[in-house]
Amino acid sequence: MMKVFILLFIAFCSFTVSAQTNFPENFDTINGYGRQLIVNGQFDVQSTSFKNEMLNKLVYGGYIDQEMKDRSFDKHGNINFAGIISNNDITYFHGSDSLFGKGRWDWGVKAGYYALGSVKYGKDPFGLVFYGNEGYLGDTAFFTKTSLSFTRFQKVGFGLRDKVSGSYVFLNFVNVQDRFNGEITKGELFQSADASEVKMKLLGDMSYTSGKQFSKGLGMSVDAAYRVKVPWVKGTQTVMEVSVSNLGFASINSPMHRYQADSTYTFNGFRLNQLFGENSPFNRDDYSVLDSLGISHDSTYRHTVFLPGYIQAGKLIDYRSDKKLQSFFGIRLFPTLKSNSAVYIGAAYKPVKSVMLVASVNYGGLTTFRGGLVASYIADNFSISVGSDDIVGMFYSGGYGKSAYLRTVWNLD
Amino acid sequence: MLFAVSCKKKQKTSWDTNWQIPLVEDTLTLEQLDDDEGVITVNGGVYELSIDRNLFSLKLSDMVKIPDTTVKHNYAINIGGSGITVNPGVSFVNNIQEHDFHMDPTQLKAMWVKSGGIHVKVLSPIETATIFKVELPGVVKDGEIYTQEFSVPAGSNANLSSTTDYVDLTGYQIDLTGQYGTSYNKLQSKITVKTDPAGNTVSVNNLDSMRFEFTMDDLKLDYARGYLGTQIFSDTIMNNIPALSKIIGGTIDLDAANLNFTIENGFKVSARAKLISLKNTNSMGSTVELSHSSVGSWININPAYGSYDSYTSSTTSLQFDGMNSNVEQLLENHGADNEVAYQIQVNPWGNVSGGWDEVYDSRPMNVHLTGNLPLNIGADNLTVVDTFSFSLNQDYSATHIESGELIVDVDNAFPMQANLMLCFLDANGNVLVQFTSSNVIASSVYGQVINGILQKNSVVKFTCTAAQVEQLNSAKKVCVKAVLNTPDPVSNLSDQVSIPENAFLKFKIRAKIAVKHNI
Repeated sequence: MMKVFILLFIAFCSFTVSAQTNFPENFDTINGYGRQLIVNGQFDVQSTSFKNEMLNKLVYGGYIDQEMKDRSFDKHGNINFAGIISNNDITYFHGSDSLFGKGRWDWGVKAGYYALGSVKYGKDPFGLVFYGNEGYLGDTAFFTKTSLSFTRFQKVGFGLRDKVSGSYVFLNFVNVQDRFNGEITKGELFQSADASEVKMKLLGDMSYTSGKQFSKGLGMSVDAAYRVKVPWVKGTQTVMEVSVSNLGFASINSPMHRYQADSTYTFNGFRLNQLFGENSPFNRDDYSVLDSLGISHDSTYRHTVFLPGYIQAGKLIDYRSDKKLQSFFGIRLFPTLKSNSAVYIGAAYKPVKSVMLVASVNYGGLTTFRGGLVASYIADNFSISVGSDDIVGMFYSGGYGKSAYLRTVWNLD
Repeated sequence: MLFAVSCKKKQKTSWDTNWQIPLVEDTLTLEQLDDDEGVITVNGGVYELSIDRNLFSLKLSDMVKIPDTTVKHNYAINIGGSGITVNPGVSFVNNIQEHDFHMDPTQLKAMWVKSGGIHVKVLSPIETATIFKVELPGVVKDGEIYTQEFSVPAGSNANLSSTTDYVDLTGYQIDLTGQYGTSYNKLQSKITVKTDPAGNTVSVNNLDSMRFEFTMDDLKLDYARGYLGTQIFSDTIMNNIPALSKIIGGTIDLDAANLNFTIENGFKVSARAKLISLKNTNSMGSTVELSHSSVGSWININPAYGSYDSYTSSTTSLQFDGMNSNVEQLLENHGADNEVAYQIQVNPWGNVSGGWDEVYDSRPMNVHLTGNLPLNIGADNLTVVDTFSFSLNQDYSATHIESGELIVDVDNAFPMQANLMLCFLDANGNVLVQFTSSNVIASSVYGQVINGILQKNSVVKFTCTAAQVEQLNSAKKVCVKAVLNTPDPVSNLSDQVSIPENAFLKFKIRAKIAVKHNI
């Protein structure tokens, strides 16, 4: 009964925690491979250039004043990233009973909810969106190589785990709830000093699902981890892991709206005969502003998309180890997300047997440098870890993101 | 499912941006005026408005109407007795018959068919197949008399056999003077019936009759000759000039305007015409009626003359100018609702041509209105208003325009200045919010010569506060009001000014708006 209560409490906290941040799965633990229930909650907002005071307003609402915009604008360079990563899943390993009653493999099931999106952009798109075009009069705003994507999906999976090494593989069935993808290959906006002329070059496309239906696409993905013991310092051994998560694809089976542009457009105002009279295009039923801008629109079906999965390789730590101090490091790649590679390094310290404190530094991804901190309570059959991958951003408005992480592991044997 | 679900905003994210965008750019010149309103010409380096409109035309089809008459004739078979046996291939010839068309008061002697024809129906009692030959002796094309044969199957007195056909008379010239060339409205026909050479021997008698019917079908004429009768044509033409209905106040002062009514008579027919009235009513309800000695009086119209190759229409003119009429006051009334009432009477003195009236379809009687209005205009607080549909349904909980400014940059080469006002109206026409321009669009007389023409630049602004933008949400129409004046550059008082050649009004309208984003 107590276990059920704690489980519900954790789930409740996960739903209501106001920090709404998460810790990326930069490290993992080797905590025994019996019958287990693992709950992961992770919410991460990252940015290379948006200060938290502005990110907070964007995420939680509120008014972004001029000074706030100025401070973030000053931090913007030629290439900037921002994004959101939310990974939430629950996994059950049957553990004690081997698959088919013998051998070292047991089986597991998992379910998860994910929302991942990112944007790569220059300084001018930020300026246009948050200041308007007045600051660009007599100048050209560039938004070449601006790209953004967002995917929200759910999955259920069945997998096998090596009870000896902890390596596992899951095959998941995926439901795509929302998908958005856009890229401007070439984009320039020139405005004359007196705002009497606008010239735009635009080459790009954008596609998105729409509608309220829960399922807009189905697909498959793989989660897998290969763990291997390798020699470490002073004759010891440590565990290295190569893992993939949500590596897969989905076929969008609802209409996906697609806009494509390849045009150069000059506008210096409508002529009177365009606004009034029988020949006015605005009086025609078939008039389309997008057509006049050279932007085509269609709907595609059976559109195949890659899921925003990641590949990670690194050294793990062991919660159950007697060592006071352990190190960890690794690299994570998002091959289908507009993101840089991320590297991390950190150390775990156990002041007492049931407590572990973990500090980390990571660089890359959708942000620059971040410092993380996690505290874990480790009981005999239960562990809980709470922390942040961006401890500065958690408490300082001058940071560039938010991160919160919650992980519980329940040993049920 | 855990953290992500908890990411719910308690309020919307909002921020402000400032935009400047071009809205309208155009150049207006007098050359762009619609041809229907007149033709702009240049005289001595200044513009004139030349009007040349055909008010109405009286055509041959108005004068002569051929009724779709059906003519039925029975032809007794021309043989010497009854109960006679007739062998195959025997012919019976009928005498020429005349058919009257009743076209009072018109007495046509000749006509040329432009289009149309006749439907022919032949009924036979003869108990063998017959060949029915129709000749129309007065109907000629390219020197050939109209002739056509119809095959009619065997019939009987109790059960007449029949056949029908259509005869296209397009291009035929028809003599309607009858067998002796002295009558009118008469079409001649001659019928020959021949029994089928390959048929049977049959018995006929002279009481048997063939029946011949024809129906005129929508005959249109190219030419008609005869006496066309005394006819009166009268009408009242109403004409609305929408552009003038937008003037709601002020005065125009025109200089040396004149109007001419020209009647071009293409008929070789005597006629007379009467201009009963010419008047207009402006948007303020003020009516001015043309006053001239000829108004209400008959004016004789001579017939056209000459042969077909040297045909010459007659011309009769009525000129109205500032010396002999109040035409300038009529034009200065800027009346949008114009009304012209007239009568035309042909052959008012009867058949004075001896039945030799001639009318060609290609030569109608036309009444033209021509005039020259030197654009030497004085405008004194001339107020022009136009109203357009408007809709701005802003959701203030979403991204919306918070406030704005409309900036109008004008290069004006017209010697006329304008004060602009924008009024936004609700569905009932009540003024919700009103914007007056920051300054006047100045007349070119205050400017300098650039590229050979005097012009003046003005920048006019309309500022709209946040409170006013909110009021625009209820607006359904926008009313643009311009008060026009033609100031003298020294006295600044309105004076008559000439509009120079190549005068233009070049303008750019751009918007400067503050946008509140709510997401």
